[in-house]
Amino acid sequence: MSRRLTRRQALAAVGGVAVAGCITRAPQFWENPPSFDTAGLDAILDEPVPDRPQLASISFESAVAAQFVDRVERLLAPIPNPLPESRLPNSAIRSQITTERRAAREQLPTRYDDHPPFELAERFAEARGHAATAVGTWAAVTTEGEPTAVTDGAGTVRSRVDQLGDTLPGRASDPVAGTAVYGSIERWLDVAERRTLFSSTSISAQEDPLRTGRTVGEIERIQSQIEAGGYLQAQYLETIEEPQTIDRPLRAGIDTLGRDIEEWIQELHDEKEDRLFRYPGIEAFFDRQPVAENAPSLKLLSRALRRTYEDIRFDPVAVEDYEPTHPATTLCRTMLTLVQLSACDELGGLIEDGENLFPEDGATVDSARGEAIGSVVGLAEATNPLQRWLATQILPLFDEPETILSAESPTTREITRAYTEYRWISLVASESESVVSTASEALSS
Amino acid sequence: MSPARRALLAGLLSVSGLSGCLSTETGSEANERPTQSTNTVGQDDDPTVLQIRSTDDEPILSETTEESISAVRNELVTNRDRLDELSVATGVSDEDREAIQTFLDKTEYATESIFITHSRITSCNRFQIRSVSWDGTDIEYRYCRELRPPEASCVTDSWETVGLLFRIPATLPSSASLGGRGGHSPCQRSSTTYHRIDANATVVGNTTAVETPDTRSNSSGDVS
Repeated sequence: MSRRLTRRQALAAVGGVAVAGCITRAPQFWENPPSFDTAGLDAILDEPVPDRPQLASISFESAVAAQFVDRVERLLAPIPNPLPESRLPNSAIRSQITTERRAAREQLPTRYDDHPPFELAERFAEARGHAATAVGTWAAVTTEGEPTAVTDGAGTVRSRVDQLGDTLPGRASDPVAGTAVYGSIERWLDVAERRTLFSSTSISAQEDPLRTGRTVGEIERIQSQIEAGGYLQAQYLETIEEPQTIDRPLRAGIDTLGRDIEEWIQELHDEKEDRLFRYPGIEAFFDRQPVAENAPSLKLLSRALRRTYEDIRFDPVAVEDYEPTHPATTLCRTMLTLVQLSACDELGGLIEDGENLFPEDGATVDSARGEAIGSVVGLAEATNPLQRWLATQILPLFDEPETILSAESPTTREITRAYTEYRWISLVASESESVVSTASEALSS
Repeated sequence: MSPARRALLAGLLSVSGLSGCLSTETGSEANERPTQSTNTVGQDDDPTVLQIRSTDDEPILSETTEESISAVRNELVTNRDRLDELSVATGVSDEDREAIQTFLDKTEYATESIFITHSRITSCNRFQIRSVSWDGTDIEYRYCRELRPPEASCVTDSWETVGLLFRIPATLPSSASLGGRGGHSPCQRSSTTYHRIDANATVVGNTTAVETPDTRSNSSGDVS
């Protein structure tokens, strides 16, 4: 539990008095923002974002990777290339086919060994999903096409998800390493079960071809994840000299992290158990607010807390006697949630100290980016696989600020948003070590 | 109206329609309002509707007076006289113009009314009208949206105006107007056949890239 939150509890009564009766409109940050000097933005993206780290010493054999690529090409083969308007006048249908075909090819790597195996597996899944969407759509509008013949049915794929799930988490060299590897594979199954493979999911040739194509693509993507998951599990098992079961350590780890999460949430809601899943509001993270309303730091905290609460509500996070279907992924997601809550608390401390997180100039943004990259490199190169796993989760956070800063002329507000996102990355990375330490101790006890 | 008379009028329509007004008849017969009581409450779950698309974002009908020409967006046509003042907008194709004229002509104004309204939809979608209902002066309709067939030439993300002409089997007060519309997208059920492009889409080989436990034990493939 955070030191700051405990102090805040003591100050809560004082805060309540301080705000009582205050009805004047607080100054709004963007009504009178400080000036921003763009100097230092020119070469800000020169240093590349770190590569995704390896979770275990395994790789995708070239021959196996080639089979995944072959499946993508076989899926795309029946679609005329080019597909002109004269052949398919309806532009919505034509566009879905051609866009998905292009996206499928873009996902295919030029060199297999440039990517860690889990990234490669995700790229293959995306590529197969896009390719199947394209051909599924084409099959739905052709006289001889049969969308149900493109990929296996939802029932078949659902039973394969169950079969693979039954073997997870498998044996591992140790509980920490096993959690990182199996947590990643289980995550594919977890998302597939919760977001795609409903009892009503089926490929119907009678439906709108756009929907039919998308369903075919989603099922094919999951099928690819099952194949890659089974393959990577086998690869990992081959590297282990003395495999051990990790079910019991995982249970202990989930219990420990689950208690931490509940303590956090109870405190955010002043011990009111019936409100555990309700968004608590950013005010729970600071006692005084010496920054203007809508200051970038407040907006960042608001975004971060909302994202965290979405995870708590919808992801497999160990709250309130949650019984995990996928224990390794539950431990990983609970750990990530704890890291985010700790980072929110740290951000609350910065706000109390008067930090509005507005960058004075481009050099400040550049420095924040460098710090963010450095902090993630630290995680990616850590010996603890759970720190490396957290790096894989933090790396996508670079996408938004990088997109903003690569635009031709981003506004000061947009640059500020990018800056706050870099600061958030550093905060999350800096909170990772202690949470991973707690998780690792619980797994090893 | 006798078939012969209707055929004669159709010829007149195409001429008068192109020149402006939609009126097809003159004389007392067309002007007569029904003497029977009006059926002011009802619902038609299989309504007769003409849908006309317009790419220039303008209503498909306009009203011409001596002073001006104004667009007609929502209107209840209760007698044939009103057609004298309405004309098809210039952006409507000849084929659609003829369809409008035929539709209006085939309406029995003694027992039926025409409700005209407009809505917007993306170029590659179309409305399926599920029902129309009327209650006093309020007319409501329900719809869903569905993808147009593969051979329909359309532009993704481009919006069009659709003129909807409902033939309501009731004589409604001329003050009746659009009281509401409701719908959803996409349609849950569709009678549209989409398998229309002459080609096949057979993916050769296995449905998997590598073997899975069940395909290893059951090489015949699908287990469902």
